[in-house]
Amino acid sequence: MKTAKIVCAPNVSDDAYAYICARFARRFGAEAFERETDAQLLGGFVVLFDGKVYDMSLRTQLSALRADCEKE
Amino acid sequence: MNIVTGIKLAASAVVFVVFLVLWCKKRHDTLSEPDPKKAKKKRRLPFFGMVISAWFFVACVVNLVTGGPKGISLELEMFSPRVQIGPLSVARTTLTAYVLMLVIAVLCVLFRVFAYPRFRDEPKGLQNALEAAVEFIDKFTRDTAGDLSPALPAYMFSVAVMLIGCAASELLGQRPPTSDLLFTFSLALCTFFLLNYYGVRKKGLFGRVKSLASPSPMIMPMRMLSDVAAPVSLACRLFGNMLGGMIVMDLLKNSLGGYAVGVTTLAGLYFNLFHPLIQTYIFIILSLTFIREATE
Amino acid sequence: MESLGLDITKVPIDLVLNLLNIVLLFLIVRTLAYKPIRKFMDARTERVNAEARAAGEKAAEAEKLKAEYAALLENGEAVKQAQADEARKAADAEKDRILAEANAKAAQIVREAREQAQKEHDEALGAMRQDVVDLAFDISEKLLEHSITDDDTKKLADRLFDSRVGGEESA
Repeated sequence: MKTAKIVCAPNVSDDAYAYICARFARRFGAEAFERETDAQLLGGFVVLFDGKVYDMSLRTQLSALRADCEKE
Repeated sequence: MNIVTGIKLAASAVVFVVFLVLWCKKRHDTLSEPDPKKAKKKRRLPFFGMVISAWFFVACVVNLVTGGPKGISLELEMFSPRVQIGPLSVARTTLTAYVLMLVIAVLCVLFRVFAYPRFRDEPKGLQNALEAAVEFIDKFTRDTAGDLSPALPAYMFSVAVMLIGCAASELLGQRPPTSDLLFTFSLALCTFFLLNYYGVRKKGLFGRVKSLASPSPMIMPMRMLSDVAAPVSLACRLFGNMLGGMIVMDLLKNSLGGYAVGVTTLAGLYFNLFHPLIQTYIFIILSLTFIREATE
Repeated sequence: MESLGLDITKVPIDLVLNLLNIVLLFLIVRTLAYKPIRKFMDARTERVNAEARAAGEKAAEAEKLKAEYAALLENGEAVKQAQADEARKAADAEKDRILAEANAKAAQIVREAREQAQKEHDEALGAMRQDVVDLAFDISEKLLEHSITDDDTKKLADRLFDSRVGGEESA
């Protein structure tokens, strides 16, 4: 069974969670999902599936943006 | 002593004392005189007065002692009287000349022993006078006769010493050897010998004879005669002058008697000093001239 | 002759005696007086001439030395002058070198100082920017944390699933 682990920020509602699961399953074919909450994410989510990480957290976005800003 | 002589003596003594007092007074008065020449001038008259009165006084005393003037005549022998010394009879002037020679010899020894070792590079006194005399004779001989030999100036020097000594002997009351023709002729013979000696030495015997025959053999006798006449003229000139001087002095002494005091001294300055020096000079220069003529 | 008081037979003896007298006198005066005086005077003249000659030689030598020293002095002056010029040139060169060195050092110091200032400025600027960025991001984080909605989360999901980008390998 292909299980995907979804790590969410605390401000991600169930509705949003369900949406994420649905879309992930449709896209990558995940069959089961695990939910984990991480306050560090600030917002958004991180999916761990099939040895890959799909990071759509706000933290990472902000870090990338920060990295871009710093690069400039 | 007679009355006239006594009056003369007394008068001269009184005059002398008067002038002496005058002179002392003038001297005292002129002590404060600022100009010394003026002061001396003021004392001149009394001083001369003193001298003349003193002279007169002394003359009177001498006349009293010697008997006064002997007159204007004089007895003189042409040739010096003779003296017997053992087997030899020599002229008195020859004896005087020998005494002179001894005196000069003694003086030379004294000079050599005492004066010469004290000679310094900067001459003074006697050394200065002797050096001047030697230098003069040397230069004079060389200039007149040429540089013939070092003995010639020495001979002329000794002749000068002898002639001056002869003049000095007259002051001691002796007849000077130069007033004897035989002595002056001996000196002239030496000159004659020297002129022939140097003539032969310079030109050789033949040259000397040849010079007598130049410019022509015809005049040789005259040349020989003039050569012989040279010493004769030298001798007679010196003899005549010295004898004449001696006669004048003797005449003065005889004619003035006691009054000759001082007068003969003054006359002696010429006849016993100046005149012999002139004659010495003439004798030497003529001798050197004859020698030069013989060597030319 | 007898009338004049002269005995002719005695004349030769007088002449001979007088001649002998003159010869003796000449020998005595020459030996004891004339010759010694002459010898003394000649020796003194010779001594004075020798001293004068020596003085003349010394004077000539002194003149020669003086000329040599004068020449040396002249040369010495020239040498001194040349040395002074050389020293001056060297000093000038040294001065220029020191000046150039000092200028270079000063320029370097200035450059370094400028660089340092620039660096510090950049660092300060960077630090300030960083601070601003940090602050901005901190504020952004704070704001976004509280302002993010479900719609935003869904948009994030859409972006992930609609793009062709794959996930990263997990560590």
